[in-house]
Amino acid sequence: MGNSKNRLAVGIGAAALGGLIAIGPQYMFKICEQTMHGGAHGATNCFWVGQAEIGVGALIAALGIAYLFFSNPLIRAGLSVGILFGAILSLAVADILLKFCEDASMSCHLATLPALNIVGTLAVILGVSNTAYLFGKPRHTGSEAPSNA
Amino acid sequence: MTSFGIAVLNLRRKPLRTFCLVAFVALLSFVLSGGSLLAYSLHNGARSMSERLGADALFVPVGYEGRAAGALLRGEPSAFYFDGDLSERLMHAEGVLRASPQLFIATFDSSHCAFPTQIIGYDPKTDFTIGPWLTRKIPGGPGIGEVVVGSGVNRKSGDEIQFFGRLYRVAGKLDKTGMGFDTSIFMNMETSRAAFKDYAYYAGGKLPDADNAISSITVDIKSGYDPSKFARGVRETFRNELVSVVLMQAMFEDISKELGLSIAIITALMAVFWLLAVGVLAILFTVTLNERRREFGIYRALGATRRKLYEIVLSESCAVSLFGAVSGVLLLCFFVFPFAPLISRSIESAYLQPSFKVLSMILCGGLLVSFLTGPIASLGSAAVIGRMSASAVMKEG
Repeated sequence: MGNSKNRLAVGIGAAALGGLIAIGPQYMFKICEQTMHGGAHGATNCFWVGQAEIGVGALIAALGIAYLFFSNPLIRAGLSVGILFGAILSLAVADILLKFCEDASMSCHLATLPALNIVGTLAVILGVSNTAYLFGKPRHTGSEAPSNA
Repeated sequence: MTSFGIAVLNLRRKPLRTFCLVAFVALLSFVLSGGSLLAYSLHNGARSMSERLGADALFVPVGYEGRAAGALLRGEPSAFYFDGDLSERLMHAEGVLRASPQLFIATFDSSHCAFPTQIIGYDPKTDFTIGPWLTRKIPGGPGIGEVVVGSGVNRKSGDEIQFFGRLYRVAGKLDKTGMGFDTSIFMNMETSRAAFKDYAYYAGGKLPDADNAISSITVDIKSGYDPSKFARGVRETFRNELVSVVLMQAMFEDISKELGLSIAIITALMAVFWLLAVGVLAILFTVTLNERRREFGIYRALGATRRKLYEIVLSESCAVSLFGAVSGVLLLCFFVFPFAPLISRSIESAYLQPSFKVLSMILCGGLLVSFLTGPIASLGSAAVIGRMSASAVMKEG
């Protein structure tokens, strides 16, 4: 894959997946509705998973957008590792660190959790495969500089 | 070089064409495997329900037949009660072989991730419909302050669960039923009557006395009694008390008819899709092979036999089909299986995903049929290329 094709595919892919992780639980595969009686104290785990995923998803999307602007393979490899760790963090937040509420019949368990797992896994696959590709690629050290193109 | 090696090189040389063919076979594999799985799960749910529910009839208050079926089949929370103390009289009505009372309580919607849940109070001494589903027998049934949860409730034995501000200990869990039991909570009569008092406190309005309240009675009819005559007799006897009889056999027949129709439509659509896929692939292979006559002419000029050309064409279609079929099944596993509980709830009918063994067989079947589609579709074009004389092919080339 050529440099520009790789930048476009991975950058747009990561930005899209990050965007899905960030806004999906709020608007697409929604967490169960929360009425915030008593402010944040009235919220359940699902609410906080949604909030955390906004941050993690935005980070992955930002790394994806940054990926579009660098042609140096080492910088791109670094961003790719960042995307990979962000994706792992997204999965960990939903499945281990915060977890959703305990009612298996709620929409957060039926739709949000599987959707986040699928999107997170796709981001992990993207991060792993692209990092392996970039590190396995022969490099012309010193000849490439960061570009704004 | 082997025919398969040449075929793989040919496919790699035209990545866009190869990708489109693989994507088409993947779609076919996805539809065939997914459709078969859906049809089997519906069939499995209906079979499991009719085999293990056990009761011949259900006594409910007049006007609540639909809600009783909704609670039973889909776990739709319902709360309805007989007026007055009818339990003993109904349980000893003429033609009743055995009977067991049940008390339905519906929990409330809440902003804190709490979905309205159906609580069913039952008498473990007389029960014959809930006990058979228990994953592990509980001698004497759940005790006071204990509950049994459906397979879809995210609790295990020993956990606690809260209803109306009171904590209950989970004593057991039911097998997956594919119907409303999966999301319901079961208590013995004593516990459910206490829960009913809590429910009455929160719900307000006019509710019967908690010590006598019952919602339904599951009944087995004595052998020799015609179910319709039995139902008519009970309705006649308890006309003033407004008792209605739901005959399970009739209800299951209606459901089976509906499911049978759905399964027939799914199967027909899959067959049509497969035929279409064979046709489309046959056209695609014919068109691409016609465009490649020059290429095949060169093969013949280089000394390839007719058999070799035939093998190359078939190897190409086999490789495309194999990648496509495997991709389709993998996509199904990756994107659809995690959403199985959501699909089950959306269908609002008896839906029971098969065991791992049956599931593997269904996926392998879908994979095999999708894999065979490509070679079958390319047989005609391969035969045409194979039949052409060397001079004709070279002349066209």
